[in-house]
Amino acid sequence: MTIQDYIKRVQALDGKIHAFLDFDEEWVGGQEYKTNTTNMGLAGKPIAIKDNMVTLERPTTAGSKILEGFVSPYEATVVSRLKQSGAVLFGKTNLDEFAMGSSTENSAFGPTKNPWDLTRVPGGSSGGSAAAVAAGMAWAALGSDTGGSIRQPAGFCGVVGFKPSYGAVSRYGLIAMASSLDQIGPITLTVGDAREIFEVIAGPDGYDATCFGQKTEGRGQKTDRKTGNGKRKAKVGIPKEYLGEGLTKPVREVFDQAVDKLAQIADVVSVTLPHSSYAVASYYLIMPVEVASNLARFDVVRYGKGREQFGDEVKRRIILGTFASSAGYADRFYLKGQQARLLIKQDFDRAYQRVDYILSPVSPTVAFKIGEKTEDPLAMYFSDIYTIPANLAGLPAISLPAGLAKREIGNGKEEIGKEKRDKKEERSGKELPVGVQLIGPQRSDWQLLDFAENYEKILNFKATPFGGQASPSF
Amino acid sequence: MARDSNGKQGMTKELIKRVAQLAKLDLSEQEKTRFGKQLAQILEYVKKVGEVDKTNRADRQELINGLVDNVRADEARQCLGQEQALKNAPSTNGSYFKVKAILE
Repeated sequence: MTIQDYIKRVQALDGKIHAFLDFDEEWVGGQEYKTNTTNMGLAGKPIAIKDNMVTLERPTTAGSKILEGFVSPYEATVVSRLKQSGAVLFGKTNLDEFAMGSSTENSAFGPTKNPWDLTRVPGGSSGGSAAAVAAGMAWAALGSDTGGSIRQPAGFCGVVGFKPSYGAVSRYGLIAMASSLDQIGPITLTVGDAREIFEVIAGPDGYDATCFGQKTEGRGQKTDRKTGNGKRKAKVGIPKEYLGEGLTKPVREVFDQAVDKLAQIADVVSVTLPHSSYAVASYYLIMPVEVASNLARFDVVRYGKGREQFGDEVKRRIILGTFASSAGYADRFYLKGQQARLLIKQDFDRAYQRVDYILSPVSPTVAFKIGEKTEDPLAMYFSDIYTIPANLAGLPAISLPAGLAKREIGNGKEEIGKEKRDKKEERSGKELPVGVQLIGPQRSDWQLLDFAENYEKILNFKATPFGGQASPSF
Repeated sequence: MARDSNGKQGMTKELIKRVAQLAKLDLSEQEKTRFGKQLAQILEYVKKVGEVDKTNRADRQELINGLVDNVRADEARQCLGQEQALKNAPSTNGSYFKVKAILE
């Protein structure tokens, strides 16, 4: 497909999907790439950019009214690196406001629809990026992931989503949400494409002090991490704590089949991550504290509109974070959250003494209906139960499409928080994608990508959102 | 935290007002009520981290990715120019950002 083909596709489909907040045809159509430089790995490939990464040529809104019309005076490192590699910056995609959300419904500019079913969410916060790739409106997209915001929408949209190790990719130019958790990564149709993009964007740039090592640290290194090609089979652990009540039947069925397929290339064993049940609580203490701090910069002095224009979820998290770090409460809440975080990380360290990678579902459910969880913030937070731990521990993790859910089945009563909620029996004619997640030890990004690529071949996910047609009928 | 009429620990209007003030968020009465209820529910859940019995200070270095003292030489480098820095400001005066007076 040429750039013009992709542009035509956006024109035809995005009216219904709303993956893009900004798609300026002059900008996307007019980018030239020099073919006479050596680093032209992504020459001519259209890559959409999540709208919380600053660009010079077009506005960056972070999905918020506060930054409506804001044009950044500098460009994110990942954007510069994509340019240098010849990629075409292909529009800015929709997101939950300031990346806070799991459905893209918190965008101040309207939600994005899931290309597989327009009445459902694409996931979040990188919902625009995932929907754009799934609908073939871009070759790939960049997303950001603080608690699952690359992997969960990738899972809901049937595409690949890779969150690198914390520190693998510079966050310079990423509008900060939670600085000890945020990471930028690619959303693509294949693991190979994700690796190509990772190769271009990874590595320290002198602007982000949390970035480690050499640009290609770990690449080609002889480690004992197996990729499934060597004589010793890779060993993959499935955390027993992840297979409990919250996991719905449709996802569990696909997950079990994915585990059977995994057994062809790896020894699959059970592992324990004993402090798993604290992950969501720990995250929803640490992250809001960092959010409250990071969003203090929106004070109408250097840029932006008044703070009353923050959306509800942003306000909630700022209040929660301010409270949890305030005098008299910080020890009980924020400090305990950090202690829980350390225990969670140590759980993984212990597990990786026995296994090379960990496999888990990406999300407890398939893509839910638009509006289904908006009245219940806590229920929405549980969408990230399997993705949050990798952010807390700084580990690389990748979401791979594994299968389709035959139909949404009521799970009887399921416990969320302290209240039991009735799961309605829903028969949906549409099949929805289910993702599985591989998590590696810190800094094992290259090995994880290689192993994921082998697994991808066996999963052999070939479905597309439009029922086998190249384009939808809408 | 006070308990509301349901016996659940809630964020009282007073507490929310105080926290919102700290966070420089001007909340409406309706927002204070709505957020109060939602935050009470969230706090009720997250307080389970209190069960964690680890008493030593969480090692921040270990938490991130093992990097220690990742600093660079204190050398002047190219940075954002004045014009660029002021370009999005709602209010400027010459080469200054203009803000509300803090002192009389």
